[in-house]
Amino acid sequence: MSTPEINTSNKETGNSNLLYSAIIENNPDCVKLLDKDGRIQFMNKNGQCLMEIEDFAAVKNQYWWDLWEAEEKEIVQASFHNAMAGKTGHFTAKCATAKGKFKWWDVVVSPVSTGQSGETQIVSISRDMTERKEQEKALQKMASHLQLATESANVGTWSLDMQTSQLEWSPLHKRMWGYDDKRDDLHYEDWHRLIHPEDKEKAFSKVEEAKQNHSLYEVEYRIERADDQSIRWIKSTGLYYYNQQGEAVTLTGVSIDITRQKQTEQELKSIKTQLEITFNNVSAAIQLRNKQGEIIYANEEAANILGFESVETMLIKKNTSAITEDVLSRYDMFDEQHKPLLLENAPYAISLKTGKTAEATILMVNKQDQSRKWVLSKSSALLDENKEVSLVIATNIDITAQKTVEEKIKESEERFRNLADQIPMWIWMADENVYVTYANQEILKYLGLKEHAQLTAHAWEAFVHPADIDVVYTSLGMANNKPVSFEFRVKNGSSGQYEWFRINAVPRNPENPSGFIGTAVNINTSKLAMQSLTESEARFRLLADIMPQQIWSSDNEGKLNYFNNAVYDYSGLTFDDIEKDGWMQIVHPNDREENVRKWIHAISTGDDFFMEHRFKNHAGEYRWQLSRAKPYRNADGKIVLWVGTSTDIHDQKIKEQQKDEFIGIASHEMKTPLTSAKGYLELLLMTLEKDTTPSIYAHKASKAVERLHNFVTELLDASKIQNGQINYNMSPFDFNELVAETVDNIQHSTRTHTIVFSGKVAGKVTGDRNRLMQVLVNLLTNAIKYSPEADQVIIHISENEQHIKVAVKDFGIGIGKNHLDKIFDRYYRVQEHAVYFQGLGIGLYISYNIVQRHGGTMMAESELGKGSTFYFTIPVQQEIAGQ
Amino acid sequence: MANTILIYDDDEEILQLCTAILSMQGFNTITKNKCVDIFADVSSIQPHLVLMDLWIPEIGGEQAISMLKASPTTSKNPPILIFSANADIKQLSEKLNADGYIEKPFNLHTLVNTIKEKIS
Repeated sequence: MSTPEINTSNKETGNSNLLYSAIIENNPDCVKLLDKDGRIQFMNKNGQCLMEIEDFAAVKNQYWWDLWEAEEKEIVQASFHNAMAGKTGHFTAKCATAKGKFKWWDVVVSPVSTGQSGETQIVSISRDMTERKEQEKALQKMASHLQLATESANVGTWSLDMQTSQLEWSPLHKRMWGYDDKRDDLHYEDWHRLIHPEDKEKAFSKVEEAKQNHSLYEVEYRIERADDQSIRWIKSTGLYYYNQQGEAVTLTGVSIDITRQKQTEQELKSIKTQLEITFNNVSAAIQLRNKQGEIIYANEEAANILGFESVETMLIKKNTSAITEDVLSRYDMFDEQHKPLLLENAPYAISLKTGKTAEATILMVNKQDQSRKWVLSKSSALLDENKEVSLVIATNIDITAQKTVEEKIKESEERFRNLADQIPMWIWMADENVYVTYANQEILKYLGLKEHAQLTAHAWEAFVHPADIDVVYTSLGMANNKPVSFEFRVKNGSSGQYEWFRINAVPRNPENPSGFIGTAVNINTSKLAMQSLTESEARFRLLADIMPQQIWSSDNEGKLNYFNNAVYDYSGLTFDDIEKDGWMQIVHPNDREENVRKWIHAISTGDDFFMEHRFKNHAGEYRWQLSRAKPYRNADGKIVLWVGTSTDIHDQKIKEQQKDEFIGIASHEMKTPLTSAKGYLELLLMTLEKDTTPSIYAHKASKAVERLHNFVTELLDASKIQNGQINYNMSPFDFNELVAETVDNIQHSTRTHTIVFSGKVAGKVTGDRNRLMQVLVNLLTNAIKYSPEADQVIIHISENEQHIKVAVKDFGIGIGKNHLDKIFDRYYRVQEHAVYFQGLGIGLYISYNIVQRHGGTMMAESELGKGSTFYFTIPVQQEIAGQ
Repeated sequence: MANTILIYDDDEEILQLCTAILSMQGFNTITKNKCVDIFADVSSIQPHLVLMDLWIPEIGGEQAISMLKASPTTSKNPPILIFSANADIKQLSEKLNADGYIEKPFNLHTLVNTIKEKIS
């Protein structure tokens, strides 16, 4: 930023340069600047115009004297050298313009020093004297004629003999009339003949008049000169000579050629007419007053503006007070402040009194119709040689239209202010120094101020939060002249609390910084909400960071973008490490493919992400994690964020593995004694006589062993499903036959229920027949088991284009809604049933998994006390994963 | 002459049960609780069929079957049935190129019928 001193000095230099060049450019004369060798360096526009130069470049660097006529060069050069010697010179000479028109020039030549070097340059100011010179020449000519005339007395004498009509003319008179001065035959007729036809009567009547009245003969008339027929004005004066009888004998007189005088008169008249026309045509009213203050001239407009019909009606009232009285009878006069105008304050009165120029805006209100008229009155005085006022020129201009516009602007400004005051929003204006020039009521109300005056200049600083004052200055100061928007705090006048506002402002003049006009809205609530949001985000981050679980998030494209501390602590990586090498670096190689597949699936479908996988910790050890991620959707339902957690389930997982391993071994180990027991019981049954008590006992024991066997098998299956160890033997088979066979087998083992089988499907199904039979057995035995009061179980098979559907319906105890979604979980048992029904609760879990492995689904509908229906589907087009 | 079935199992009860059942059906049974000397056993006994449990101490059943099936003299005869409680017995039997399997616990008919089917 520049210092004020530099600013000022720059301004002054700038101003003086500006002034200087304005003076030169506006000089009506031809102003030239010559270098020390006399070459032209500069010529003002008016000069180029006078010299009829179209392109200054053609003249630049020419020697000045080369522009002049050959015979003038010497005087021009001499004056230049004089000037170089430091003397101001002056000469008059002839010089042709660029277009060859000769002009007379009055030239002043003076030296100036310019530039920092102080080098001498010459300024020549040439005034076009041609017109004056021409006039001078004409005058000279006339003067010589006059001189001649004077030399010959310039007066012709004549004498008319009344009896003979004989004329006696002096030689000069003869010459005056264009006759040879030698002639002596001139007769009355020769006088009469040359008089202008229009003046003849006048000339004769005057002769007669004078004779009758014995008065002086005096007449002016025109003649057509005898020699060149030129028209001349002649003034003749004569006297009759009467004889003693009283008869006129001779008329003797003198004649003067007054042509020149007449012409001048004529010219003056025409000038006067022109002036009047001009004055009457300018919209300004012009009055001339003499030193007594009386109006001696006024144009039409002057009369009009004061409400007179014409200049004549005004000037009839010779004295000023009468005119003033007349005007005041029609108008009330006020000054600019709408106070009654005092006549001594009228500009002409001031000029009259002081001899200086004066100016005033006057409001004239018509008394009749109250119409208003604004008049700008200016006056200046002409001083005589004694410096006393001799004449006052006053001009009055009707500026009503202009004034009306001004008033309208004022009015519209007023309206703007009124409007701005109504708007429940801050509206303000400030100048380039950030002085508040306007603030609407809403602002004043908020600040607790009564009037705008309390907010002048920098008073606003007192209301703005100290930390925000700088932003106001940088945003709205001179340095910025672009639309701006910023937030700042302003103290509420009533609560004394600072509240946040957002300013939006536009420059008042985009070209040149002249302040801003703008609005401000209270954003306190949203700002505080945002702050609290930030705080709450920080709180949640803190929470996330103290969680032992790993928490992370990703964008909608699956790119991870946040990890809590647990992630860093566990992996020993930094955000940048993960950013650089990706998350997969810590996932166990065997889990990577599935991980990527599942993550892509989640991102592309919006389904929850769910996976158990191993992450390498900072010690290089892989530990099992259970990861889940859910999408977060915005109001439009578009996913904007995924939030995920990874829970360390390693110990659990290992324990489960150990348990499954244990179950595997245990069940195998159990099977061996079961095999013996079962075999021996069968042997025993073979040897025992049927329906004897021992046989019945052995049979019961055999049943118990069978149940034990089923239980061990289920247990083993469940643990295998958990470890993904179940093997499937997929092959095509007849599904109808499978259902029929299973129904048959189960029907044999129950005496309480009838299994009603209906429906049929076309074609074969590809799947593990034994496993699917296991599902059917499970559903049918459950149906029987959980409907002890009923005697029927219904199984129905159907198909559509996609899948085969099996429905097993019982009329038993049913399942409560709260349990319905958990019944397919491993080891889940509906607690209320535990008392009555035995079992591990893994049958449905196994069935569910088998159906799932076949690409199908299993679901249940149930109502407590009324029974359940279990469905499962198997796709017709088999595409089984992991075959 | 009665067909001889050579049975390997580490569980004495199972061996006795099988002997009892198969004897009733007219088979001659020889039982072993170890299969360390499998080649010697097979060449000296010349069984018509071998029942082989998988979980046997020292050399396991799986290894024994692999050895028999790998040797030209025993690759075709005698037929070998896997005799196990392992739920994946079917897959194992295919894997080991065995001639069939009997899953424990078995029922008498399955045991007898499977053996008869393989010998005929």
